[in-house]
Amino acid sequence: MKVLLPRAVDITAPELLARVVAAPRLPPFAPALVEFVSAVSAETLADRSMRAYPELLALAHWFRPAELRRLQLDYASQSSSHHSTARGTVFHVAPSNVDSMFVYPWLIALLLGNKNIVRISRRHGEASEALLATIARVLERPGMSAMLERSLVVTYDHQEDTTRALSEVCDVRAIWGSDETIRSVRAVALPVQATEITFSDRFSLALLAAEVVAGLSERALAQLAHAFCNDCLWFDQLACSSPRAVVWLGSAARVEQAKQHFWPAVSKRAAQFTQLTQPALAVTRLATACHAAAALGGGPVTYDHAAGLARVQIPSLEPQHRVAHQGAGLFFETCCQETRELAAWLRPVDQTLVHFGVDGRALEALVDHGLDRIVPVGDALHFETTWDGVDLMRAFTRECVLRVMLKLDSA
Amino acid sequence: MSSVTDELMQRPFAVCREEKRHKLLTALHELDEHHSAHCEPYARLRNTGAIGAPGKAASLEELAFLPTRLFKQLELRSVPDAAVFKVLQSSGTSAQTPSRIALDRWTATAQSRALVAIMKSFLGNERLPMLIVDAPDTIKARNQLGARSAGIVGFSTLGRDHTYALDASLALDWAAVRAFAERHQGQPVLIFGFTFVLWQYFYCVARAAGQSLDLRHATIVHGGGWKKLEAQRVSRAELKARLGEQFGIQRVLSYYGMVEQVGSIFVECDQGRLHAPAFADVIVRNSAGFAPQPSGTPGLLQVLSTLPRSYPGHSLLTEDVGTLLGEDDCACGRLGKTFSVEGRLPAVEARGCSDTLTVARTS
Repeated sequence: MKVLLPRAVDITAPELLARVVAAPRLPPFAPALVEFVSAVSAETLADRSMRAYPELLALAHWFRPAELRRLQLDYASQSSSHHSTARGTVFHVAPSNVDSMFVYPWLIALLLGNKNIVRISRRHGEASEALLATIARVLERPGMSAMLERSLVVTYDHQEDTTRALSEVCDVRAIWGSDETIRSVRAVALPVQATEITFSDRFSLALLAAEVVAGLSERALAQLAHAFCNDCLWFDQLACSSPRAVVWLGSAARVEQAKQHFWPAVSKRAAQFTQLTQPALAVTRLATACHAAAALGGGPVTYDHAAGLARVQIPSLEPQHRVAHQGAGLFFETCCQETRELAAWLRPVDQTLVHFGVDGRALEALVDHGLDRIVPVGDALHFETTWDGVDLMRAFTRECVLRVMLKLDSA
Repeated sequence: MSSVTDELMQRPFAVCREEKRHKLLTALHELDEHHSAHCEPYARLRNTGAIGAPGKAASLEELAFLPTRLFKQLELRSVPDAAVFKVLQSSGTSAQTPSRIALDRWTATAQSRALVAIMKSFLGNERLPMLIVDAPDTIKARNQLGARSAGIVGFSTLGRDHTYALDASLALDWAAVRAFAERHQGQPVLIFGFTFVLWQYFYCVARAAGQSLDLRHATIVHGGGWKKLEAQRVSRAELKARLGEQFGIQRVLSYYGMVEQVGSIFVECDQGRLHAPAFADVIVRNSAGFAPQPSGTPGLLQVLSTLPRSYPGHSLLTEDVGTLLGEDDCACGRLGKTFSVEGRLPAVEARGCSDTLTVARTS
């Protein structure tokens, strides 16, 4: 097991682990914790080299002081007659090869007073490296030494022994990853009083009202296309929350009009995601389109090679389409006349639905069909403290019921 | 159209561009129709626009092409199950399902004949004594072959006195090799093996044990990719030099081929170029639009062949990167396109779920 943080040359990993476990819980949003996270945010935003990692800038923005104050207020307003305290030690298993995901739950757990052990993948990328270096720098500042024992970031190959050792000392285990990762980590026992939350591979989609889209001015259309591309095309369209299917709401004629209007605008905005035209992604996109056409009822197929996009028409959204999708700028496309039809296609694996031009009542028909988020186009990749249906603020804290008054009959 | 293939096999490196393009286009049109008629998934690929454009392609470059990866996901056949004679499997990585290619008798026979036709040009007409650098049981399951075993079985038809250089545990059987060399002293012999096996289990072992032999009349033919050797920092030039040092071998020819397209064996000539035989061809494409690249510019290799009748493998986009070097202009005298292969496309890094991003709003 290799320790990535804290950067302590002369202390062994087992010792560092023991320190984290022995460290006390702190009150949620204790000043020292807020100060630390604010410092990390400020340091990241101030660092010019971080401009290379937009996902880290977004993360720093999310954890800025004003936002931390809001989080604290939200949290305070929710725990009224109860006393919330940190759960203790949270063991985070981060998704492999994703550069910023693991930081959100880690810092949230930390803000709530927990100690943290974070296992990140051996294949973690440059952005992670950059962020860990930034955090290490903040930890070296005078006054931050108390924070050193509140987090341990490690990496190791899939060794059950290590997972067991770390699981044995935790109070919460949070696993983010593929179905396979979740299955194998879950198989490792937890202490009796520990809780576990899991975040598995999910699927996301977009619902667009054809009539509204068809009637957009060029300026508004450009804004919509921009927001849509931001939702879908970062991280090679592999983020769980990035839409991979587009569902049009409206009559056949309107839908046709809307498509003619919408996709050219998207094509223009997609040009900034140059990664999509790289050979590996182009081949993935081609292969998925072919697989869908050959065996999954897909077709017609439209390629926009220059922009790195492809569209495959499907009569309805089926589980096999979700399984076949590999990101890379491909969209399954279909339509329906009412949201009720879409509701029938939804499955528990569906996480985020971004919508545009659809009225509130129609959207309500989609609640309770498995989706965790129904948000406007543009918001797909915004992290929220309630994720995959789990309120992280609650998952990382425990509540103690305190009642003071004992009613006795007056003598 | 098998008669066109037969005809082209008679003179695999003596067909010039104009004649070849015309004959190949006709043959490939026919295969496109044949597969559309007999392989439903292929017909769907064509009809939905997933591959190619509607109607007859006006040139080789406009023919529909299929990504080789599709063979890992689907078993595509243009013959009924009863007609399937052999199933080839790609080696694939541990995490991936292998490609499965169904051959009927005609296609399997055509594959052998193609190999003989091509290799005659490099080895002459005589059947040479053949040393196979592999273990005898590599080819055990004869109706389910991987690239390595298919290579051995295929190339074996070119040789005689087949001798295996390795035993069942892949240890070098020096006695067998020495006996082979003695039996054929002073005569041309053929040594065949997978590139990595040749290096690791033959050359390296012999060198470490200080064993050498005079094999100066041997021609080595090897294929299977350079990735493992690259990982060990052994270049093509180094492989040739070391084999020359240790065994006196002067002639080392590599070949490029794939399980997904039978009959397409592109052999390296004395000028160091890989050659397309008359019944196969190569197009290099860029990825931002899949347009053909000019000579000298690397891109994705597409391979064409008139052989695949039992499965729609006649026009495939591989995941290998290569460069076109010329056409009908190689100093070795063989006509046809020549190219080099740079290596595999790096795999797309699987990135996980729920990546998040807040974008500071612009307005």
